[in-house]
Amino acid sequence: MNHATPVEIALMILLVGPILICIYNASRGQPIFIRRISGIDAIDEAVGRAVELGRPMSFTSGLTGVGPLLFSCLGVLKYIGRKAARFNSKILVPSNDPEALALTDATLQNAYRAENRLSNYDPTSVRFLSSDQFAFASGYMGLIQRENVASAFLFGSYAAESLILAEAGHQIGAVQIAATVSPEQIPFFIASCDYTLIGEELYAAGAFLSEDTVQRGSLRGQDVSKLLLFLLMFVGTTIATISSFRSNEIKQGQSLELSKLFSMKWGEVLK
Amino acid sequence: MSQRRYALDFLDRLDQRIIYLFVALAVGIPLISGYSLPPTRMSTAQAFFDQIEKLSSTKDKLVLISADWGPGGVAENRPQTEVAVEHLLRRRIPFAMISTYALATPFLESVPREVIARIELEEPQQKWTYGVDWVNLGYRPNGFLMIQGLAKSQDLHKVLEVDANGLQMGDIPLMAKVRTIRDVGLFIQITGLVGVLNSWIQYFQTQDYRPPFVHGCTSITIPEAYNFFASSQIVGLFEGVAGAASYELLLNSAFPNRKPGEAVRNNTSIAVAQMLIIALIILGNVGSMTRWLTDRLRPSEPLS
Amino acid sequence: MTPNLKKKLIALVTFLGGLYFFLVYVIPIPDEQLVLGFPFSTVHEQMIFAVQVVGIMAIGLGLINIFQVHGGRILYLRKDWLNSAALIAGLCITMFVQVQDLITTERTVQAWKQFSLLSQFVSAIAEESQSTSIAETRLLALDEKLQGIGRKLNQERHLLSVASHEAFGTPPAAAFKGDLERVEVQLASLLEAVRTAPDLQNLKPQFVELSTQLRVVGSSAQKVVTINSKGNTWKNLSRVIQEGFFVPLGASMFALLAFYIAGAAYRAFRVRTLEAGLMMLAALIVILGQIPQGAAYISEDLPGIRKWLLDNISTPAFRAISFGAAIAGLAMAVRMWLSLERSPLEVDEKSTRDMRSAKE
Repeated sequence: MNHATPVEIALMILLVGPILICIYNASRGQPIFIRRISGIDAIDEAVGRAVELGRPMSFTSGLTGVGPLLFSCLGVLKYIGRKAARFNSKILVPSNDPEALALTDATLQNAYRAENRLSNYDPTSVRFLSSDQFAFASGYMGLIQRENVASAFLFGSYAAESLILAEAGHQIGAVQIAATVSPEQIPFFIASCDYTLIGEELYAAGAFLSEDTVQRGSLRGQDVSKLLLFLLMFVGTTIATISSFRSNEIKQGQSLELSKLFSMKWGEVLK
Repeated sequence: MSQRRYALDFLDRLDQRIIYLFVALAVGIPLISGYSLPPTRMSTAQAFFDQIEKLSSTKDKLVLISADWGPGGVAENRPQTEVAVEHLLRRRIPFAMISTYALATPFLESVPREVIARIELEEPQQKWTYGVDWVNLGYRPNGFLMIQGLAKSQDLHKVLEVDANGLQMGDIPLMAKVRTIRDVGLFIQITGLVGVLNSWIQYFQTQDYRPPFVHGCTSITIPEAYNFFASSQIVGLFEGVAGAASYELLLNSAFPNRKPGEAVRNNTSIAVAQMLIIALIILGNVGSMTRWLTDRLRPSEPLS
Repeated sequence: MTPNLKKKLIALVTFLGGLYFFLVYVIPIPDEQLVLGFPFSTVHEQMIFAVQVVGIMAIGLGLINIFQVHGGRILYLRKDWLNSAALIAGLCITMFVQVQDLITTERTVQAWKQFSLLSQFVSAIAEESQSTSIAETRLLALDEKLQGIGRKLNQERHLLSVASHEAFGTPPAAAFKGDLERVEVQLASLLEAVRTAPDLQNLKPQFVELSTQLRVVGSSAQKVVTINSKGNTWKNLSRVIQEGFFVPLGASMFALLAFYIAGAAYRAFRVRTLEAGLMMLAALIVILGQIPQGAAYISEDLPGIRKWLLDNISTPAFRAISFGAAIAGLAMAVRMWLSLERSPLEVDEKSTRDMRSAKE
């Protein structure tokens, strides 16, 4: 089994420490500025469009399994679900993962409950389509085209079927807002969707929509961690650049030592 | 009020069905007619080739091929697997097929067998035998746990137990000396799925040994694979079917009597389709540009 | 249980679960370290399996949901009920065929695996016999074991060589019959040797030879069983479903991407700003650098420029997005572990109270 080396533990502290500190500061009332992201602002517009047209909206988390990413997506679903409940608009939530299905169902029910509209909740709005990637895509295509959704939200992890899902929505003229952490799918969403959230903006969406101080503090902490990581990279690049001007032997020796640093165990470090 | 019309207006608003028709023709005509273009030489495919050439054919080390692709990956991953398998077979380097993806099961058996049938036709005096030259270890569930188990095992025979056909590891001649990860001389991972390569890179190693990794990916995941190639975590790469086609050029040089496979033909088909996409993008921009210029130069004219 | 207590209990269980995996990663516990009498690596594997088992049970939830959504539609003849009926029928037929295929496969594997088990049994007898002095009772037990092997072999002969089977009369069947007869002769001579000359030290090579021969018989039996199963109806149906439906449908869905990429590229790639123009130029270079026409008709340097773009522009951008997403995921994981934020699964207490008071 792999265990953490001392350097890995130090990196963990370096990355997680600022997040915890900023969460603590935020909970004590420190104001935090978060820049506006147009995709998140457009969520309300998209919901409004669906309500006005009297057509349903759809929300899918794609191939996301149970994990931190799914919980971020569920945060957004809860927000959209509350709006759907408030304005009595139909929402469809096709699902790929049976485990995620149970959590999605519970989230949507909670959203309806929060608006005191639990009696309006339709248990068939959350549907399991298939665990297979392309079977899910074909089911999604058929569903949204038959139901003629007005707004489609694609939040989560996607693979090759991303363009199929997005094009299906485009063909029926739906407003589409996509958010994914899979970098290779971003170009497809940008080409086919009206708004796209990239990478950590998906996680930020939860903070934006919930206005929760903990999440806002965490966002700030993430930025501090990224800054520290950037500083580390800068230091490493500088070392590599300086060593490249020296002789080949020294360069090789230095690079070996640097890479050894990350695999050294506790005994070797303490020596 | 009548709508303002522009010259070359149609370029900006081509019907999607016309585009689909052109794509079907662009992909289909080269495939049906057999038209093929010599592929681009790729340094990543050359690196892949060099890794296999470096291997010794003394049969003391095994090459492990993880074919983690299914029906969706047939167009790109299948030619990649075929050229890699063909190179190993021709050099008489023993290899084992394995997969962490259930839908790959039929291809683990069919791809090597078809390649063997093809090269036995070319060279009737040579034979390749199951269990001696190659083995199919089949689909193994449990994802990263299985990969970790393989890497950490002190006796692979106990972990694997039987091959895909139920034969005991002890009854398979090529597995006789293969007991730990140290007996894997090269690891080939071919997939279009997201996240699978990460699992193999992360878990298929021990504290002091890691076999050289080479990878075959689909065109969509090339940028992701480049991350690992740039950091030397993988030392050879098939960049989509173009990589496999480039590899075929190298195989043709090494084995002049070989007959061409699917990769060059598929690559040509994709290349023609990509030229069509470039043409469509240019035409679309010409249409937009015409509209913009007309608006700027003649703003007051209502109709053409 | 009050909602507050339930919340605290969930937070505690979440924390303990996360703490276990965190400590396992951070503290270098040796794999062979004993925990509750077992090596730690075994305990850890079982923990992971337990988590996976919970996940597998969730497949049932998916099935229930399918029947709930589509079953209701069929029962009340709602819109598109025929489509739902087709889905349910396809699901049921596929499940039935696959289960039958699994049963058939298990039966065929058991048919020849018996020999492998017998081989291991004989090896175990050989090892056991060498280590202890032989009393008369042990000798009788050994005799009984060897006779049992003979009876088992006889049973297997009957199962595998019946005339109605596909393999009857084929070379593998003849080979199996020959191997089986050789093993029976060997077994008979070993039995005789055990009864007449009970110095088992000298008989070990014969035991080892018998074990090896049993494995050879197992290999021959496996070939016979494979031929027999080729004509099996369930296997053929399963193959039709897999290779006739599933594989072509999956490939067709993937093929749709080619059309959609062309349509999306035409629609979306319009040069309206400088950045869009630069992106377009980069995209053109990458495409032309990959296809044969680029190097052949435009410039031989295109593949090199393409590689430079991928190495120095695309890879850093991908890494940047990946770092950002990974740190965000890490932050989310820490918040979930420490139960620092309100989960979307939490019920709002205010709305629950409102609902209760509205009912009253």
